[in-house]
This record gives sequence, C-alpha cells and structure tokens, in this order.
Amino acid sequence: MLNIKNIHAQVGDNKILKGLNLEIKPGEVHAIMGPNGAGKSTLGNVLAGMEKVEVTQGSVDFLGKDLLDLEIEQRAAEGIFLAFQYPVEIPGVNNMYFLRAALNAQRKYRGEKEMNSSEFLKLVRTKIKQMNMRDDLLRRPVNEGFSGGEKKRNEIFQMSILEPKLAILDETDSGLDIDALKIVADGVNQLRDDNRSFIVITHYQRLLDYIVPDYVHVLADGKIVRSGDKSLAIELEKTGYGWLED
Amino acid sequence: MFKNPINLAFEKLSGQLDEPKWLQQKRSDALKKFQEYGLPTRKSELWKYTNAKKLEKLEEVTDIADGNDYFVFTIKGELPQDTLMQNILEIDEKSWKNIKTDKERTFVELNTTMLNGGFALTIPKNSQLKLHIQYQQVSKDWENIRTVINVGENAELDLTESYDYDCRINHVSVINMSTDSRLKLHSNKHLRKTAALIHFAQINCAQNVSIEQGTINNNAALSHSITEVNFNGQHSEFEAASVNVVHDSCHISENILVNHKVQNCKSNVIKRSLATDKASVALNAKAVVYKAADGSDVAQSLKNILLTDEASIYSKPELEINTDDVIAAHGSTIGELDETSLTYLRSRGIPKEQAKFMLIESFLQDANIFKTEDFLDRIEL
Repeated sequence: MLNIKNIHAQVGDNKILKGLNLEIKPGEVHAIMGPNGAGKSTLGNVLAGMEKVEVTQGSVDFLGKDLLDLEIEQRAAEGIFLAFQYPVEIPGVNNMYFLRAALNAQRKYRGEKEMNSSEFLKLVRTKIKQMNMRDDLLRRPVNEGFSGGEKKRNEIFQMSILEPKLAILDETDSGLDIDALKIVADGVNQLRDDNRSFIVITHYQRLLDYIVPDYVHVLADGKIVRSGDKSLAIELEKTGYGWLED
Repeated sequence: MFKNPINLAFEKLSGQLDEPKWLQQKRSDALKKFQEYGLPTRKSELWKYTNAKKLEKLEEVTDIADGNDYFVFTIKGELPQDTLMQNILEIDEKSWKNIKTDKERTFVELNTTMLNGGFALTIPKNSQLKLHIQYQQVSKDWENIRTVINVGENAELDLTESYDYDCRINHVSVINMSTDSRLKLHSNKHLRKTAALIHFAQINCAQNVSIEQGTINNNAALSHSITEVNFNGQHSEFEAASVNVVHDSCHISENILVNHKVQNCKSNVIKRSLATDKASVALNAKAVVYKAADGSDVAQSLKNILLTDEASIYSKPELEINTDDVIAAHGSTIGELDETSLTYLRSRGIPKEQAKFMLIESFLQDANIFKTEDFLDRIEL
C-alpha cells in the first residue's frame, strides 16, 4: 500500500527526516515512537502533503501513485487521512457543512456520485452513534470551543465518515483522559479492516494497549532505527530512549 | 459637476424650480458653504484614503432602468392610513432639519444645493411597518436625494433600502427614532463597478430605542458613507454589522460615529471587509462617550482580509471616552486568509479554491446580523 524510500525532508533549513524507509501493507497498523524532535510528526506531514515541509530526496509510492506529486486535497481523496495533533478551529464553518463538503469533494475526485443532504444525514447519524459521540458537536463550528478531547474525537469522527485507506494518527492520545482515550481507540478499532492501514504516532505505550499494532518502529534523528512487534513498545516504556545515545 | 459647472447647474436648476423662498435660500446658502469647503482632501480624516477627485472622472451612467423617468425612489410595502408621507421639496420650513456640516460633510451641502427628490415619512406611534425603498437613477447626472423618516413612539419599522446598480447618487438620510421605537435596517449597496454613491446618514435616538442595521457594500468606483448615531435618550441600543467586498479598482469608505451623549446606551459596530485585485477599503469607526454618559457599553470589531498584494485596506477603530464607568472594547485586524485553516480544509479533500470560499463565507457570516439564509447570495464575492 505505502512504500517510503529514503525520504529526506526539512522545515526551513532544519533537516528533520534523513533517509527514512517504511513499507506498510493493507490492513497493517504501524506504531511510530521516538523521542521529541525525532521527526515523527514530520513523517505524518510529509505523507499528508503539508506545504511547510519540503521533501528534498526520496520517494513515496501509495497504491501505485507517486504521492509526492499530489496536492494535499488529492492525497486526501486518494485515501490519506491525517488526524492532527492540534486540530484547527474554524469559526463560522459548521461541522456538518464542512464534512459534507469534504466527503463530496473526495467522491467527486474519485468519479463517484455526490451524496445529497438526506443521505449524508443518515450516514452521520449512524457513525456518530457508533463513535459514542454527542451529536451537538455536529451543529457547532469546526472544533470551535471544543475541549482537547472533543477535538481529538472529532478527528476520529471525520475519519469514520471519510473512510480513508491510510490513516495517520499524530499523537491523538495526547491530552486525553482515560475515558476519552478508550472512545478514540474504540473508534479506530471499529475502522480496522483488511484493507485499511494505520500509522499511529505516539509517545506512550498506553494507547497501544487499546490499538494493538502489528509493528512498532523507533524513529530517531530522522530515521527508523529499530523495528519490532508490540513488545518493543513495552520495552521502550521501561527503558526509555537513553540507549539511543550508546 | 463640482467645479465650474456647479454654478451653472445651480442657476439652471433654480430657474426651473417653483418652490418656496425659504428652500431657495437654503439651496443658495448651501452652495456658498459647498464652495467654501471645496472637495474633501486627504487632509480630512474621513477622506484620508479616498480620492474625491475620482468623482469628477466617472464614466457616464448608461444603465437607467425602464420606468425610472421621474421619481428618484420607489416604495414597496403598504403604508398605514395615518402615515404621513410628503415630497421633500414640499415640506414646510419648520420640518426641515439643518445638519451640521464641515469640510468632511461637504456633500451634505451639495445635496441641499442640488436636491432633486426625496421624502419625509412619519410613521405613527404603536404601528408596525415593513418597507422596501429603492433609490433610483433617473438621469445620467447625479441624483441628490434627501429622506427623513420619523418613527413614532413604540413603532416598529423593518426597512430595506437599496440603490440602482448603476447609480450616481448623493443621499442624505435622517432617521428620528421616538421613545420605545425599533428599527431593522437592511442597507443594500451592491453597485456596478463604475457607480458612485455618497451617503450621509444621521440617526437620532430617543429613550429605549433599539436599532439593528445590516449593510452590504459591494463594489462601486467610489462609495463613501458617513453614519452618525446620536443617543439622546437612555437605554437605547444600536447594533450595526456591515460587509464590504471590493474587486478591480473599486473603493469603499465606510465611516461611523456613535455619540453616547447620555447614560446606559449600548453600541456594537461590526465590519468585515474583503479586498481583491487593486481595490481598496477605508474604515473608520468612532465612538464618543460624553462626560455624563456613565454606563455606556461600546464595542467595535473591524476585521479585514486582503486577497491580493495590490489590494489595500485602512481600518481604524477609535474610542473617545470622557467618563469612568464604561465598558468598551475595540479591535481591528488586517491579514490574509488563514493558511492553517486552509490547509486543514484541504487535508480533508476540499480543493483549494473551494476551501478559500468556505473561509471567506465564514468570515463574512459574522456580519450577517439578521441571520438571513440568502445573505451571501447577495454579495459578489
């Protein structure tokens, strides 16, 4: 599904990714862990197409397409979803309006029929129930006045509506209490299937108790320095990242 | 119109008029004042960023609507039986209200000099009225229109005023609100890019008056407005929200002065402006809280977006507070569309142009004071 080869990326003059390689197959969940400043979020931003990050070398193949050649919105329509670490508040843009515009823009891009308002409403009602979320969030402007937990849940809700092929969760667990963490993890687990893959960027092993990864990678100084299964996350929780300096 | 031809035009006009001497005298006095003031220059605060000389170089009005042969306005809506409506040129002298002018308000004097139409409308107390007034272009030259609306005690007026798309109008309007009266004023200035509109409005409030004003200013070669609100009675409220959207080389200047002369009144001025191409917007929002006006509540919010490097916006909120017990807040921002929000929308699959449009829509919705669903349909974005 995703094949990242020797990616180098920088923000301004700051070189962050320095030859990163990663392959993800359909249905797999990959956790990316690592110390602060290692480049975890930058990896998510490279894949989603954030313009502040400049890719200077390497390639990313996503379902047979050169991902780096696509605009942000094209990547989304191709099936990439980035759950933001800091979801943006957009006053004045109603959540429902925004989501329907997003869903229909993606459907249009893929040559599918756009969804009318009653079809969309039905979809939203089903999904919000599945996600155990309050439906008053839908009537409010995007993320405006949401608590930290509500913002993260809204990201997962958006993901459930847009049904991406590859979802990147950028520290979605940060700032969540244990109940909110379970709701978010439940939402993600409901979306897991043989064709949808996830990259879970996190600092802590506790999220991986709920979203069990197939692979865990340690990212340090812009490269993946170690890979393993879930037990690697447990080991990191005990040992920290001091061993990287040895 | 403004230089030498003004004398000739005035002579021609006064020769044709069969009107009372007092009005002829008003015109003559006004002409002297206009000539004394001259055209406003950039030294005047309210004209600092507006080139009045542009008014002398306007293209001719070409698009005069069918049927606009005589009256400079039409009124849609039913007037109650005891409503008094008079031609402004036929009112008696004591009904005429002099407006204090200075160099910035020189066009009020020109309006008096060249006045060619308008009305005085008195709405009886305890009545409710919904009206739509269209100000019309009947000639290729300037129309000088004066309107006076007196809203009676405990009366309620829902007024929509709009202007011909291709207009050249100098409008002076006075609205006198009696005790406990209410006004909803929808002002639609969606104009052709070659049009020109000069508007001076004075709103006088007695006690316990409530006014909501929603204005759309869209294009015009030059559109300049000065609104003066006077709180003369306590517990009155004025809330005004305006949208200014300009393209090409259009220019809009919107100026508002709220005089809190007495205690316990509230004013809230919201302006949302958007300039693209080489267009420009100049905004002044001033509130003066007089020494005796404790308990005043004043808010001003001016937010502006520039969509191109060559567009310009000048935005000035101003508070002059001469007493202690006042709640006051003001703010002004000028910037581009928020890149972070734009990226967020695009990251969900929304194309860039559509995402921009959504952000513009949401920005302007702040000024949709009446929460009308067709609000954005009435603006050329």
